[in-house]
This record gives sequence, C-alpha cells and structure tokens, in this order.
Amino acid sequence: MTFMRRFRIWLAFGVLLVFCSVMVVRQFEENQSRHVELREAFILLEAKGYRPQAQKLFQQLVRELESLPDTALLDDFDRTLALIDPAGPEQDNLIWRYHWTVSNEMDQRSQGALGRALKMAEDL
Amino acid sequence: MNYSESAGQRVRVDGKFFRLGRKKFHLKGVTYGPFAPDAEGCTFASREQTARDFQQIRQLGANLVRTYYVPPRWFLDLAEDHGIKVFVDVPWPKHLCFLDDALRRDDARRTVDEAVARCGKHPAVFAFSVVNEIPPDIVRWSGVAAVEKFIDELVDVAKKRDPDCLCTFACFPPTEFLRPRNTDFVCFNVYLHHGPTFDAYLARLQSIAGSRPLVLGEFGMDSIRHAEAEKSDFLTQQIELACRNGAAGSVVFSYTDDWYRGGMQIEDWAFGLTTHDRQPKASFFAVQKAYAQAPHFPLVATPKVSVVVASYNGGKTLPACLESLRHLNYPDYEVILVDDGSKDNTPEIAKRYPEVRTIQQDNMGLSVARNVGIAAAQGEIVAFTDSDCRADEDWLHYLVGDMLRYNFMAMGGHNFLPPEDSPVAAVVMASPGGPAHVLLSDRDAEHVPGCNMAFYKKVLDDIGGFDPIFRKAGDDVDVCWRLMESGCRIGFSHSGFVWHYRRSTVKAYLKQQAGYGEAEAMLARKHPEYFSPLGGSIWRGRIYSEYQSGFSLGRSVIYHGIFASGFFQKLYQPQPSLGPALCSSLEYHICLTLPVTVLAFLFPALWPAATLLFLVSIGASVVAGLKAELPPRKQRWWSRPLIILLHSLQPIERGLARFKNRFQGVRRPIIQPIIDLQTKGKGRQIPREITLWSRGPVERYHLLETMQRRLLKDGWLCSEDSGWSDFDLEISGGRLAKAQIVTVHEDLEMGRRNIRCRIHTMWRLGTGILFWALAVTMVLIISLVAHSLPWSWMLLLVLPVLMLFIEHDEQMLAAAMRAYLRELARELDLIIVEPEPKKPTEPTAKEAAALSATGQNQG
Repeated sequence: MTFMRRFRIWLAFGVLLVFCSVMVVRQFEENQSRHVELREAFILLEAKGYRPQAQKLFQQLVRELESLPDTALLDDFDRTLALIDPAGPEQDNLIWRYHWTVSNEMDQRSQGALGRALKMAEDL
Repeated sequence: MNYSESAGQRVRVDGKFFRLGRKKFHLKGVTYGPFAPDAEGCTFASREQTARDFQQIRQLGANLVRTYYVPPRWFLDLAEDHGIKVFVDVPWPKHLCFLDDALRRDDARRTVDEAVARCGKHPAVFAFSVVNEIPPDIVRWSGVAAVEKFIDELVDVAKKRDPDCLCTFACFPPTEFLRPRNTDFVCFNVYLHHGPTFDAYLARLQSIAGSRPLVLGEFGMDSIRHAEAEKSDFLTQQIELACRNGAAGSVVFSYTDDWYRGGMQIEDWAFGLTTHDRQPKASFFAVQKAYAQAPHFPLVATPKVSVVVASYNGGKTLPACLESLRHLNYPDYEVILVDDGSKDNTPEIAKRYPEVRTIQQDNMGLSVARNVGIAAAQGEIVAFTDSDCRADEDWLHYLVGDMLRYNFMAMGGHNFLPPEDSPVAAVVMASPGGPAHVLLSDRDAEHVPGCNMAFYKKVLDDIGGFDPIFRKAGDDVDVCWRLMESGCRIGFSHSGFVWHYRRSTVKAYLKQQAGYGEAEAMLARKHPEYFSPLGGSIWRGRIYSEYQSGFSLGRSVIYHGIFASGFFQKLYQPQPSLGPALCSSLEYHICLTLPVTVLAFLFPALWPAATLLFLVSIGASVVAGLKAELPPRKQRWWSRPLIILLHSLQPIERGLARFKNRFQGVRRPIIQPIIDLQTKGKGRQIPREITLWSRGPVERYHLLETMQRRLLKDGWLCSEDSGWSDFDLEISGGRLAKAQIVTVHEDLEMGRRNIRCRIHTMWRLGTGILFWALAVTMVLIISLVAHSLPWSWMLLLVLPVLMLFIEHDEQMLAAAMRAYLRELARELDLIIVEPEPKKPTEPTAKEAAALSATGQNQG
C-alpha cells in the first residue's frame, strides 16, 4: 500500500501508457477494418450496378487514400487487381478507376523512397 | 410671521430628507379634518375657521397639514400665506376590489388626475398621496404585484399632470410588503404605543425606505382611553424617536377632535391636540415643545469627531467635499485632509480651507493615508469620507447619534448619487461593483462602505488601524471583518449619508473595478474564511446596492397572518441568485465560452453550443440592464445599453485583476531556505507526522495560535477551523496544493504531554477543477480526432506529468509546514520525537522493555 501511495504517479503513468498504447493499436485496427468494410461495400455496390451509391463510397475511399498506411494501400491494390483488367481502359468502371488511383498513390509514395535510394547510391 | 424666504417654492426630495429652497424641510405636521360637509359638500372648515386654525397650527410649531380630501384653492392660498404646506390625500374607493373593475380603476386614475390638476402646481402643496391604507385582504385578493403596479400607475398619472409634484402612497403595517417603485418617498401610518417596539419598527421602515425619505404619515393617541398626560409623553417620545431615527417628518393625528368620517361625526375618539372648539389640550403644548426641538434633539453626548478625508488626485470634487464639511450640524469636530501625494491642484484647494488640517505625504496608498489621519486625529471618534463625496449637513449628527444610542463601535451609512452628477455616473451607479453596505439586521451591519464610516479611535488603534497592503480599496472590508472578529458591533445609520460622485467615464469605471479586483484578491489571501472555494466573498448579511442582478431563484413570501389579518405583514425576500453573476463571470468565459468557441472552429457542430453560452451571458446582462433603477432625469437613450455593456465588462475586468493579483501575489519567499535548513537530506518523501514532547503542560492551542500568527506574518494564506472542519489550520499558500494541519495532545505522566501534528496535503480546488477540465477536454478532443490521428491517445500522458508538478508542490508545502513546526518546537522549548521507522507487530520481551524504558524517560 505504501509502495502504491509512494509511486502512485509513476503507476498512473504506466497504467495510462498501457491504456494509450492499447487505444492507439485498437484505433489503427479499427480504422483498417473500417476501410476494408468500406472497400468491400464499394466493390459489392459497383458489381451489383448500384452506381450512385458506389460513386459515393468511391469518393470516400479516394478521400481516405492519403491517410492510408502502405500495407492497406497494397491490400487495396491486390484486391482490385483481381477484379479488373488493368491494361484495358475501363473509365466507366469505378473499381478500375479506384485501382489506378491506388496505383498512382503508391507510385507517388515510392518517389520519396526512390529519391532516398538514389542519394544513397550517390553517397557511396 | 415671515415665510418670504421659501414663499412660492416647492419642496423637493434631497436624499433621505426634503429641501425647500436651500434649507432642509423637516415635516412637522398635523392631520386636518375631514369636517362635517357644508351645504355644498365641502369637507373643509370655513375660510375664517381655517385661518384661525392655521394660526394655531403655526403656534404649535407645525409646518404641514395633511388633508384627506383635495382642498379648494383658497385653502392652499391660505396655507401658503401662513407658511404651511399641504399633504393631500386623494380619496377614491380603495376599500372596494378596485382591480376587479375597469370602471373603478378609471375612476381612481381620473380622481388622481383631477386632484393634481385642481391643485395646479400650487407651491403650498407638499405632496400627493395617491391612495391611503389599502386594506390587506383586498391586496391579497387582487395580488401584490398588481396592486403595486396600479399604485405606480397612479403616481405616473400625477407626474404626467405635474412632473415636479411629489407623490407617495400612505402605507401601514398590515401592507408593509407593498413596494411600489415610483413613489418619491415612503409614508407610513403607525400606531405603536410601546416605545422600544416603535423605535425598532422605525429602523425597519428605514430599511424598507432605502434611499428614499421616510415620513410618518399618522401617529397619535386617543384622549378618551388614555390620560392626557400619557398622551403628551407618548407624542413627545414618538416625535423624538422619529427624529432620532432620521425620519424626514412626522404627522400627528390629529389637530382637533372635530372629525367627520363615514357620514357621521366621530364622538367616541378624541385623537386631537385641541378640542372640538379648538381649545388646546396638554398634548398640544407637549407637541409644541417637541416640534420646537425637532429634528435635532440633543444627543446624549457629543464626543469630538475627527473627519478624515484621504485624497489622491481628487481635486475635481475636493472643493465640494470640503465645503460640505464646513457646514456640518455637529458641535465639536475637526477636518483632516491627508493629501496622498496628489499631482493635481489638491494642495492649492486645501489652502482655501484654512480650518482644515492638511497633511502632505508621498503617495503611499489609501490605508496609509487613513492611518496618518487617525494618528493626527484628536477626536474620540474618527469619521471617514472620500474626496469624491460631499456630506449631508446632518451626517455626523445621525452617525454619532446612532453610534451612541445603540453602543456601536463603528458606524456607516448610505452613499447616494448627487443630483448634479452626470448621466454616465448614474449608469455607473446602476452597474455592478459599486460601494454597498451589508446588513445583518435593520441596524447591525457586516460591512459599511469606506466613503461613509466612523469608528471610535480606540478600537481602530486596538486593531492596528488600516492594513497598508490595501492601497486602492478593500481597506474598509478588512477593517470591518477584523472589528467583528474582535467582538465589536458595526451599526448602520439610515440617515447619516453622503453624496458620492461616481466615475464619470467608462474607462475610469473599469479602472476602479480593476482596483477592486486587486483588493479582492488581497482580501481572499488575508481572510480566506470569508471566501468560497470558487473565490466569491461570503456574507452573512444581505447586500444592499443600487445595482440589481435581476434574478432570484427563490420566491418572496409574505406573512399575511390568519385570514390576512396580521398587523405586521412582513415580506421575506430571497437572496439574489448567484446564477447571473456566474454567467457573466470571467471564470464562466474561461471555462465554458472560450473553450467551446475554440473547439467550434475545429468542429463546427459546436457552434450552436458556443452561441448559446455567449447568449446566456449576454442575456444575464440584458436582464440586469433592463431591471436597473435609474433616476428618471438621468436617463438617456444610451443608458440601458451602456449598463448592459458595463455589466458584461465589469466581471471580466475585475476578474482579470483578481487573478493577476492572486497569482502574482502568492508569496512563498521563505520556503526554500527553511526547507534547506531544517530538512536537508531527508529525501523527497517528507514525513507527514511530527510529535512534539513537552516537559510542561504546553497547550496545543498555544502552538496553533503561534503557528497561525507566524504563518500569517510570513505571508501565508492561513485559515483556522471554523468549528465544522476536521483540521485545525488550513494553509493555502501553494500555487497548486494546500495543506491542513491537525493536532492532538496526549497526556503523559507528571503533567507532561505529547502534541502530535499531522500534515495533510491535497490539491487546491482550482487545481482539481483545472486538472479535470483539462482531462475531460483532452478526452473530448481525442474522441473527435482519434479516427484520423490514432496517436492522439498519447496526449493523455500529459496528465501524470501534471500530477508530478502538483505532487512536487505538495511535497514543498509539507516540507515547509514541517520546518515551521520544528522551528516552533524550538521556540516553545518542545522536543521533537521522530517517528519510529518501523513498528514491530509483536515486540519481543527485550524490545518491550526497551520501549518501556524510553517511555519512562520521557515521562
């Protein structure tokens, strides 16, 4: 009891640290699962021909794109690749458009890595 | 007779009194009639008889007659010729439920209007009473507010016809709860034969009258049921008591026994000072003698009074102040002007008043200036007023008179807005934060304003005068509290008043409020027991101020008596609600309006909440602004908007100054040296208990008193147990934490004892509120942003860091208190017994023997 009283602040700090860490992880997971849910709903609606509703979800997915982690981006890329032909232009297909949007975002993100790789090569 | 000086002039209200021309007009009246109606239905005596009566009334020493019917023009002319004023009662059927019938209401309005028109602004008319003694059951039937409103309406009708006429309504104890707002003075008919009861009731009536004059509209005694000698004594006593209580006048009922009422000649009552045929009774001569002395009956003593005026750059109003002090109606007084380093023309003005003793000093603040005045005072009583005040000529007469009569050690009185002050000053008067008095009863005060107060010099000397830390304000509050703590009673004189020029610009007003805020912070440090944990001052009495907050959560209650038959039907008013004050306070804006508004920029959904919070605050100001009572002649189109603005700004300005001073002024200069000296090397965890062993019977009260004195001397905020607490002393000196000390004594053998002291530290209320407000705000923000910023959860780690700071403050405070206790132990020759590091649960025989030996050694 004396120990608890003496180190109560550090204990509180520890408890809060654990709590906050759990909440951060939980939040990331929640964000991820929510994104997957959104993506799947979008694919379903597009596949079933509910165009306006799919369009709405498409807009939302595009808005979230920037804040998505690389792994989620790659997951989206893989998932949409299985549903479309990336070579053929299918401007009317929202899944195709989303696939290319994801692809472009990945390209954009890889630019930074490319720059760093080139700098590394120059330095050597 | 020579009445030319005031001929043609009309009486006007002047503070708590009346004035005719330049002189005060004290009503010395008798009721006159009504008499049996003549052939034309006139209820007045013949012209010749009236002339003879007026001559006799003048011989009586009276200057006013009260009539119950509207007099004819010749009557007024005759009165004017004899230097008599007429107080006209306007009769209409008030004994019927007049509010139930539109025709009766119209009739009342028309009657009042015709009465005022008929008197045609005649200079002999003193005032109109728009109604006399409304039966209490009719008031209860129709509703108090409705009756008050109707009385106000009748006054408006009269004022519309003649704006300069004085109006009142004649009230009596069964309807004393009626408080119409538009009357010029308060008039009461009182028949109380017991002297002390009458005296006490006059104080009550003065409380009801507030800033308006009080007139005794009727009082008297029946000669048939009482001996004439008794009646003479009674009338003498009542006139004297009325004067001593500062009534603006009194009207004896009646001039003659000749009285016609309700369609018949009254034969079984004889209230007159003269018989039917105008033969003076003994009571006539008694009243004659009393009226000759009125209103200034000699005081029981006239101790010398030193009037101290402390002035700093008060040159603008100082001449009016000193001029008024030249003409005080008191036999033995001196005026001392303490010029507190003024940079204006104060020294030149002072030279124009050679009778005033002027003391020049460098600017050292109000309290020091007042103390200098006390030191220079030769009087037994020291009275204080400010350079922005001018005193009524009877100021000292009433102040000292009440002080002597009721054995008060200190006395205060009203401060009114001078009629010549500007409309902005009137707005300032109606705004919050003005000088107010706090009354515990009709005579006893808890606080009197510094611009009008008097003390016995001895009691001021006993408490060490004013505290020099109060440079601008707060000195009066501090002195009142200290006097009450020392057992002195403070009184309130309803008629010893001064005129107080208010600040005449918004800037000056806000500057004054900032000064009051600083003073409040200093008072809170010095007298924490008089302040709530939220920082508001705690008063036991009722605050009387011109400012009205406009809200009251409670309901007024009237004691009507069984079947509305109570003789004294008293109004019990609830205390004004703190709600509106809280809604416009700085704390409200900091804790609610500001955070929600800032959050609303991030989350637009919060805009309605932010707007609502702002509107609530503005709403409180608007209600107060609309409810404010402004003198009609000082009202301008901008007056109420300005009051609303000042009502909004004042709490912020005052609050800022209070907080600034509270945080800047927290003085803990001696903590670290004491901690270093006394507890070096003890580590962070300070033992919270200390045992002091004494060889003799040292009282723990003595230890506590010494400790408290020492702490206060060193600038700590220290309050003692009020009788309801579980601690002996509470020290609020830390910025974030406070400490409580609880002591106990253990009697040992041979009269020796242990005094055990426990130091308990905890968060201050403000710290707790801020901490949890921050925690809630963080959780709110995190819950809103966590979706896009998951790392925002880590913000919560700020909280334990804050707790570390608070813990540090607690430790420092505990260390300081412990150091104080150790030092006191040394001073009081007590031995510190350090606590055992560990107590064995079951001592061995050897250990028990050792412990026993220690106890014997101590014993």
